[in-house]
Amino acid sequence: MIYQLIRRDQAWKATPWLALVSAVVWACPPPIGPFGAFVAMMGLFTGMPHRRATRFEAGLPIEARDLLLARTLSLMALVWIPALSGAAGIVVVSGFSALAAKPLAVGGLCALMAAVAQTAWLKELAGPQWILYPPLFFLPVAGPLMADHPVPLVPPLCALAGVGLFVWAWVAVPRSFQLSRSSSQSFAQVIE
Amino acid sequence: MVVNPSDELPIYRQMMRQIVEAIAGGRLKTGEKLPSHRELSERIVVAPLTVKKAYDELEALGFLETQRGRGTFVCATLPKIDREDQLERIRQDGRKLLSQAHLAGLRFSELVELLRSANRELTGGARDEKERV
Amino acid sequence: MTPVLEFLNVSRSFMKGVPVLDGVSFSMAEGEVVGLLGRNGAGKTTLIHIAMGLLSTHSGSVRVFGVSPFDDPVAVKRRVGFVSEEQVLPPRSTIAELIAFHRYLFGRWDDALERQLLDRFALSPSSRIHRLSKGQARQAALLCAVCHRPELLLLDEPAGGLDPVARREFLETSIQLLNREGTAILFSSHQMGDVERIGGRIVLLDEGKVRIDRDLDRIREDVCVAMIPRASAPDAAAFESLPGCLRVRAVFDDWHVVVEGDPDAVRGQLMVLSPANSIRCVRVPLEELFIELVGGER
Repeated sequence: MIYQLIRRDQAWKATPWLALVSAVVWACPPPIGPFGAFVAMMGLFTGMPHRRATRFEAGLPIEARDLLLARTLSLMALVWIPALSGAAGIVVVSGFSALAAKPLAVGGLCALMAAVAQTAWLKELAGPQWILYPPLFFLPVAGPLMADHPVPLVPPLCALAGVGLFVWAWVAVPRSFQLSRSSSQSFAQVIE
Repeated sequence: MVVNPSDELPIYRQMMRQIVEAIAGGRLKTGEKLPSHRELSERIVVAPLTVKKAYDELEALGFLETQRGRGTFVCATLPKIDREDQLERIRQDGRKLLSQAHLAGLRFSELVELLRSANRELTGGARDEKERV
Repeated sequence: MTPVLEFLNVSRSFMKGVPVLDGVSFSMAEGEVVGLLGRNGAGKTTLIHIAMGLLSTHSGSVRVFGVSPFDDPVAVKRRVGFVSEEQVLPPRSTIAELIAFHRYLFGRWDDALERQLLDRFALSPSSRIHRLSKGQARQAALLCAVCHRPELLLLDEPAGGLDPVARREFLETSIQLLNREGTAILFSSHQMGDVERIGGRIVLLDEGKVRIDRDLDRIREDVCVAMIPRASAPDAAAFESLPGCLRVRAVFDDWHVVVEGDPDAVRGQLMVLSPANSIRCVRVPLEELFIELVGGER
């Protein structure tokens, strides 16, 4: 079941493309390199992390927990695989250096944002769309900060927080998702 | 058979009327088998229970009979209609028809000709109009 | 006999103090057809979503096959087919992939019916959903909803926005399902012609409450509309107190009174209250009745 859901997930489908673009962009020297953070952010956006299930899926006999798990795994793939390919790109071009930690740090932050978006408004199909906007403003600030202070601790801390959120959600998720009050449908229809 | 959902008569009554007209006009012969509920419902796109209702009502009136396992048939002997009731109804409808014709500027003879051709249509030209309608 | 679907005093509001559903109760037996009618915003879609477990009730309860859709959503949904005007099928999926997914999820699958419907709707399995017309996409959704042989079919304005041919094909498929499987069908629709054809029971919702819950044939035959010139009866209160009066509505120069009973008998009763020669009392088709019951004043 989980595999069937993941392979239909748009986040999963976008992952290979994003990984490719990420590898290329991060491998470029600055000023293009750090643009990789923006690429990761946009990638996360198209993955619709605030949505746990589409209306279509909600009408089908699928456990909400399965939907949550499949969605989380797809989003993690969308975040980490391009992060790893970005790091690989840097390694290939300029060898092992502290720089390679940057895409991973960005990946970590994105993973945390995805986890927060996935677990907020847990009873509903999807949280409100505006939950995606703060990260959009957050990253341009975090980016330069990390440039000056590469933080190798970021990926594991974010991963830990993400896992914690997921475990909480796994326990708290209702058996079926409710239609959300906010009509986050139209954006979904455009992107889907 | 053609049914009109927006007609004043409910669909099952329209069906009853059309079946009786077909019997009267000789298009449905006595002893002839009618389509099953299912068949007819899928053919004219109407609920099967509606078809069943029409058949049941006609059976109660004595026009149709159901033979278990074999289907629904037109009765061999058709019921005698209560004449007084019918005559009054016909009289009323006749008055309506006359006033309509008057409004349309029809002469009486034109109206009679109209009735004649309608009778021919209904009976398929099979019967002489001097006989029963 | 467990009802297939049961609403018990269901209430739900969307904004503070504005109930969309207010104490709605009715039930459906196996193989029954129920048409849910009402103006836009009367609560029809909300009610169907509640039956699917997609919306919770603020008070009251819902049972599908005797079970609450919130207690065991998967078991319920497995036996239900759902088609909605608002449904968005995955656009990039092909019809074949969609069918395969449903086949996987539902287990029970009628291959012969699938072939027949693909043929009847002229759908090509390799076409992608986003390339289909609205009618074709709806038909694909119907196909997926019926081929797993549900015991209950929930249709939320299934014919909304479809051309007459597509509507007719939809109706044919529904009737075929009634005939072959004895599926219970709850559908909401504005197409009175379709409602008349598929028959069954009518539940009319008005401002969140059930105004009428009766067999279609009984409504057609036992309810009539009388038109009385306002000049001869300026006060409508007398009519409202008539037993069996469902509504009195001002329409230009007349009162339109919806009353249960035989037209001639009702006319007689009204003539007592307001002697006037020009009282007309007639039976009307469903569309007119709908407007008389929930339409505004003129």
